Amino acid sequence: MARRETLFSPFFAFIGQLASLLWESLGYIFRGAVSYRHTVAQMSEAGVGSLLVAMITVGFSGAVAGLYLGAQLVKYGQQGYAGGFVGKSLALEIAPVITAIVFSARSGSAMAAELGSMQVTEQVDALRSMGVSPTRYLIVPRLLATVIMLPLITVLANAAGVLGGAIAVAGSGISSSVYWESFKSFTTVDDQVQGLLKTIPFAILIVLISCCQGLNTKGGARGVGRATTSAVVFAIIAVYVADYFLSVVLQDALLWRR
Amino acid sequence: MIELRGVSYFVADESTPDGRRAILDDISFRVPTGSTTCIMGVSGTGKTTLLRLMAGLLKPNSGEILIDEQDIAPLNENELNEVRAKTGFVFQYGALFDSLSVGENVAFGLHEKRHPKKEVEEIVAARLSEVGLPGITEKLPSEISGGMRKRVAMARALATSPQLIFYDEPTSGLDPVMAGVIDDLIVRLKIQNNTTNVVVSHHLESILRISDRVLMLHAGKLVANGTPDEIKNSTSPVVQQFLQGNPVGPISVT
Repeated sequence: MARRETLFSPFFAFIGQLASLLWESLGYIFRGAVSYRHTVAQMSEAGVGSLLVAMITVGFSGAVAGLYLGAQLVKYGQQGYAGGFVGKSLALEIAPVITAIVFSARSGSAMAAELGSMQVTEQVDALRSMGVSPTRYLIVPRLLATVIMLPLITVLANAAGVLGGAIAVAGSGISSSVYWESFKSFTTVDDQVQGLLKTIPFAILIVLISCCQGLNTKGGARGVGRATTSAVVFAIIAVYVADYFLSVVLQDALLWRR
Repeated sequence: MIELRGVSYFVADESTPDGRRAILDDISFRVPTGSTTCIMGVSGTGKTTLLRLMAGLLKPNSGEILIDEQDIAPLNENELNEVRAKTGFVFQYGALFDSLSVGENVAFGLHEKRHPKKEVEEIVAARLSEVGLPGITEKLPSEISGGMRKRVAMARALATSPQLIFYDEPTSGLDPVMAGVIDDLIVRLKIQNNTTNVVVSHHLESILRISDRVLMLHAGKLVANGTPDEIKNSTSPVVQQFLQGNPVGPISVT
């Protein structure tokens, strides 16, 4: 008897597909079946392409945080917290999440579109017909490149955000030496580590969702468009949901360590 | 040798009572080693699906597909990759990797099999001149015509010297002279390398020229299986309508 289709069965099928892609990719990575040439190509293609956009968006996010926080803190005479607030929010939340969103929009969409058009023009089948696993050839280099690049982009975007905050708080009359002093004393190494640790699961989610959508593409140019859109939408949702649970777990884990 | 035993393939279709529709229904035939079998039939009767099943790109819902006595239907992708090492597939629209040059496309399978670099260049040049395209290794697939892409795809599939070759409409869209060249190449490979070939085509002249056996598919069923002469003299109205290109007959066009 055929299994009954419910409203949720496509969702669970998709989750299952992501899990098996991850398992398969890890298998290739641990066996060392990795094309370094393709990984480096993806690092420059996906990573460098997203860097500038991430620095601009996170830079201005930091500036806006500085603008509002600065005005409020001056009102209550708590200027000494400005740098710490901006720095902590950037390190823990704004930089990793905004960078992941930018990456998904800029590079995840490109992955879905490229794999999607390869799927509809039978190039994915051509790989399989030659005994080459699409997971090994297409997904593993993208996965490795993103897991390496996303934390690096996040660090630079974070720096741009802190700088943006420094410029913005000056508008509220907080001097830059007060800002940097506050930043140094409140934003800890743990905060930076916690933020960066989140980027690795983000990277895995974005790449797997985008590639999976690409490989599932059906029906020509319109299908490629649909795959690209849903890759970005699903990746952004997944990043935010994962962000909450990762924050809960990481916060406890880092507290417990001390 | 390729042998199919009772192969069926279904797709989901909500409008039928059991929710599925047969694309291929209980297909059985065999293709002996060193022979060419052509599969003909009107568009949409499952010819390409049948070819993809034999290459392990699709899984049948029931039945056995034996490649050199090994049933490939239950194999997983890793096990299939071993079978695919001895097969080649020429896709209908080429399916060239569009980010790679023509030369890299043809060399792709050889690099994957870690052939020595020096030999690869020679094989690539030899294969490309066999399909009438010498000296275009630097071009990108987007810079050459559809017919040329198809011939490059053929060179790519043949580069690793496969023993079983699946051709999806290798001569459609080619000029008559080039179609003749491709037909000759298929026949020559069969004689020289004892390859086993399955060709999907509705190009009658070429079917009669290259095949040892001809199968005809109609509405998901095998309706004819014989030598080219038997097919030509068949009394089946479906076969005769197809051969004569008659718009009126048992093959419904609506």
